[in-house]
Amino acid sequence: MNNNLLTVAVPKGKLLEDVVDLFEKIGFPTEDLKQSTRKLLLEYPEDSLRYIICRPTDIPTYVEYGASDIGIVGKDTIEEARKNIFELADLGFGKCKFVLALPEKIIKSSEYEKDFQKIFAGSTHLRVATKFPNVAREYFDRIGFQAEIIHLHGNIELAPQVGLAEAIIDIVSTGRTLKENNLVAVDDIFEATTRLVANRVSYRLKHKRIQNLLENIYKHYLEVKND
Amino acid sequence: MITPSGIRDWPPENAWRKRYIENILVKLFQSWGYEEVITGTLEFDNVISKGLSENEKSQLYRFFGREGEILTLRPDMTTPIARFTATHLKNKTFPLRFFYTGNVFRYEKIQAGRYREFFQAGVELIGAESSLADAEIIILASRALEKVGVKDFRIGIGDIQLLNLVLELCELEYYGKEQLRKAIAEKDYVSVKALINKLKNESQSSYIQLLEKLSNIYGPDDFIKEFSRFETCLVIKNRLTVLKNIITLLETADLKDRIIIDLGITRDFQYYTGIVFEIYSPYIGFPICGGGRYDNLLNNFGFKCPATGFAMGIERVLLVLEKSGKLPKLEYKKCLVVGGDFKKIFQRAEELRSRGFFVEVELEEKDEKELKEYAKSKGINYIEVVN
Repeated sequence: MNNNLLTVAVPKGKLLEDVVDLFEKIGFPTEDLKQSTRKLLLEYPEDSLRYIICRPTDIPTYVEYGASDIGIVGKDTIEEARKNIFELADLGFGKCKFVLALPEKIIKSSEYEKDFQKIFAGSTHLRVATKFPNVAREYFDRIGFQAEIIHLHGNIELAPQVGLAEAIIDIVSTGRTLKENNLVAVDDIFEATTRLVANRVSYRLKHKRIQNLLENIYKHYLEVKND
Repeated sequence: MITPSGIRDWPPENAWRKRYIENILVKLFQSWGYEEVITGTLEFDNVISKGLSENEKSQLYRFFGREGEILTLRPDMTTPIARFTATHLKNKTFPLRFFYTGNVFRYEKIQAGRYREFFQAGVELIGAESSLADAEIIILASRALEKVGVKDFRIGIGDIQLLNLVLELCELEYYGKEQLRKAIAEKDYVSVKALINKLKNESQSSYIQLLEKLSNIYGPDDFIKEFSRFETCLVIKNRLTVLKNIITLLETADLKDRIIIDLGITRDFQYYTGIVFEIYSPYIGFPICGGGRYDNLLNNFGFKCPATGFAMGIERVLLVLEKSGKLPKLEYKKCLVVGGDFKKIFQRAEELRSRGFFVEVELEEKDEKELKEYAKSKGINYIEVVN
């Protein structure tokens, strides 16, 4: 076993561009990430480095099991996954927020505007469609409102239009999708940015290397960006 | 029939490996003066729930007994042994050294090498307060891993008392303290950093610097160097003395190179009160062994008594051995005794058994070819024919 090898879980999809930018600034190889190859495993033996390219929602799992020493993943995904992983740094990008959204017409036809608790106070049932059932459950527990949570895997916006749910909980970054589907955000749940996460054993056994990486990220990326 | 989720069966080759490892551990624990105790798998819920956080309680298997009482399957062995000691063994001569092997149950997400029923071997050292006792536990855990063939492990040591002391000294208001404690326990270093930055603006305490050091990890020498600056504070000095003693003792046991000091180690169970530790192997992403001091747990059962101990995950140890190519191999000699006369067969089999062979006798009338095939598929090295 190579104790120096550092395995990094890299999210494919919309975060990738920011990850490439981050890697460039801290001197990590990025050529292969920029090409749209289908490779899932990229190895750089000369740097004792390895990337695994995976779906963002799987990254907490890879890191929790130690299949990956560290990973880059949104706080939204971390909150939902509830894995035992260490959050080392807030990388700042991929900003989005969790919102509760209702169809525009419900709001318009109600006298309570955006106060959904009042809107639904008289109804027997609030059904909420979401990709994030854990986040949703925690939110409703916190505000003390009862709702039925319907777990979907995508295109949450569809649910209110076809009567599957009265409301949705989803992450928004620009708000365009909500608008296009005539949905209006009525409550912000929390904001999320991308995090550097680590496996609890790797963090201790490869501490020097991870600590150096962290310092590099602060010096060449986060502090530069904040100036 | 299938089994409930997270519950598994052990086929002979795995069961053999488990027992092999347990036998080594039992012999080692006994040679250190530890005695075996056995407690029941079922406990009253109000016994087990003492010393657990809400989250830990949510992982209990609970059900009603026939008289409406709430029962739970033990999630670890420490609380049952603490209960047993506090209620039945108070009049013994202390310290008591106990060991156990057994199955425990946690309704948790299925992780590497950890099912919902899993096996632990461990020890409890009850009635000893000194740092010598803390060191004995860590050394014994290390020897246990060495004995079963785990190499390259590292020992992460934390101190819940020092952590609490620093939080007290910083004079944080209650809410800030609890937020920080939670962030440290959840290893959310992003929040830890943000909270410390916020506190820096609010608090004048010079110990805020010390707080910042909590989320770092150190080799033993660096740790002492970094923290000795704060020894002007007597309570901190006392805790550092404990840690220094332990480091010295581990050095004597040739374990110094394996030590990592990480005050972020708080362990899963809420009952820990002092020195805690976890042992890591590069082969899996979870600790393979963990433990520490729990000086208040026995008091929950009406008997004030300091104690420390550790538990080792048998499945995790097996996983490490498998990944590092060190799984124990079956090395015994198997023979099969065949022939026409049953009396002679049984006599010969007994003779061979008494000489240490693993001996089967032929129960059906197989021909020579069938016998050879049978022996091959069963890993039998040698067939003896008696007439």
